[in-house]
Amino acid sequence: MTQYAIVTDVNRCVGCLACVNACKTVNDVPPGSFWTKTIRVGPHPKEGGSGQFPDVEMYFFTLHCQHCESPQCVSVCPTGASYKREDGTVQIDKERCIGCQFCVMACPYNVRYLNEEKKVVEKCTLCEQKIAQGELPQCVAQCGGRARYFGDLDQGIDNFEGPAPLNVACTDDTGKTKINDVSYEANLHSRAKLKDVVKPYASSDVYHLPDVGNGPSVAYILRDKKWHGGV
Amino acid sequence: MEIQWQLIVFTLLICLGSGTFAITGLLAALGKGEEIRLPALAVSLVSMLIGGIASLFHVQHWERMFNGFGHLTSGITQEIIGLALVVVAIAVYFVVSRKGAAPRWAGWMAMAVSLLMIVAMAHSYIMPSRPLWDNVLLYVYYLANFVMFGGLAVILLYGIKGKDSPFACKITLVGGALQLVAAIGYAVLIPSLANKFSIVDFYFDPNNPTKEMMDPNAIFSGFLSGEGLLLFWGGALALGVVIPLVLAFLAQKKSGTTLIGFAGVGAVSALVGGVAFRVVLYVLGFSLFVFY
Repeated sequence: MTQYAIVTDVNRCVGCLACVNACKTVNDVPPGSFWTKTIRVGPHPKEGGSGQFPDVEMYFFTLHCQHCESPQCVSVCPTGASYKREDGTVQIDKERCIGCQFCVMACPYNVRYLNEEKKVVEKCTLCEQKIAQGELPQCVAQCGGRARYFGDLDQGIDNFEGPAPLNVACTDDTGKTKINDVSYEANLHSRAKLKDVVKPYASSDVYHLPDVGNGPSVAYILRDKKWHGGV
Repeated sequence: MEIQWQLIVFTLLICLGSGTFAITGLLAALGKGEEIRLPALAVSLVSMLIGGIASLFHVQHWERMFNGFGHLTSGITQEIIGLALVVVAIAVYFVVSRKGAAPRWAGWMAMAVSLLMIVAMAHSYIMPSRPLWDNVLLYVYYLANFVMFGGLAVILLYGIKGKDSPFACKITLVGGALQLVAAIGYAVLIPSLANKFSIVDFYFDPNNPTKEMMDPNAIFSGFLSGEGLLLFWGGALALGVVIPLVLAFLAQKKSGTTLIGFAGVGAVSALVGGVAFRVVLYVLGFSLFVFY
């Protein structure tokens, strides 16, 4: 079974908000609403430090639909408008949505909202229109820090893919190996695997948002810093 | 989260309608209540229908209700099935009792479907995503509402008929006592909920830079002595429980106009208290991850 998800290397995220803007542009997200957000956590005192600057640490992380394994939003939907696709993503059939907003209430992460104009609920789709064509979700494609990677959890996080940084050998979608091609087109179609780009990490460095039986699929890698946000 | 007034009206009137129907049924099962049968059925039916219509206003595309509606794991589907069952049961009850006293089986049927409705309604709000809602106390609270609202409505109807009803007063006292237990339970639960939320200590949302940080610890530990002073203690507890309970106790030896006054004031007080409690449910109904 496939379970598409996004993994963010939080140590690489610079909080540039490129993912937020890219998402809003591509998905026509209304002003004031977001399908993905970047949150700065900290600065907090480092453990064992003086408690004063410079012994502090902070990180940015991106928050969006977690495309859960057992999504509560799907269970509470009366019409089946919220559903889980075979690729593991949680989607909304807007033609079937009655706008009752019980899915908004059932989401532990508050990432759903009512589109006041269309009167239906919306949220991150993992850019289903793009991934269906073999492209990357826009937030992954335009990540300024090359921190975000997209893939199938069943294939392992190491095999998640993102656009290749210029100093990393990659293959384009014709299978050709390239390096240092700075053109926009080459960059857009380049692919590099997470394991070839990010610094080594341990399984204990991989975090998820709090799980209340929903099984969030999206993962975050954070090394050498304290992860905040568990229950 | 934002206060969902349509759902507040829905849950309030469903408690009133199904509670009145259930207590009418209880009286029938005990061979009583013939005097108030028809007006009680009318109160039940009207409450259920207005409640149902109120919930439609919460739905943005009600015209799509039948567009695949019926996902059985959904609380809304379960509520609609419950509502339909109660309305059908009211009709059946009316038909089988139109020539005299209602048969006892009809009384048991009224109690069973009404109880089912209330359990389904409470169940639809039990969500792990909302720590305040995700508690067995919600079942207790709605069941208490159901018994107390129904009891007060039946006392009022007896008063209008110029009679007394110590039995309905006793039922109301049972509902009130249950309501008191639920309210005390929430008074203990609310301050203890902070640790159910994700805490990231210091954070900043660059997408919403002027929004203050959420601090569940401060919100929940300070609610009952701050913002909730009037809403919870004054509304949900004093108006919602204490006043109706005292009035139902005093009404045991009253009849006629005095009984109407006691039950009427008690019912209005209980309804206002019920609204106050439901507002608390939304004011503190944060999702466990509060940073989005």
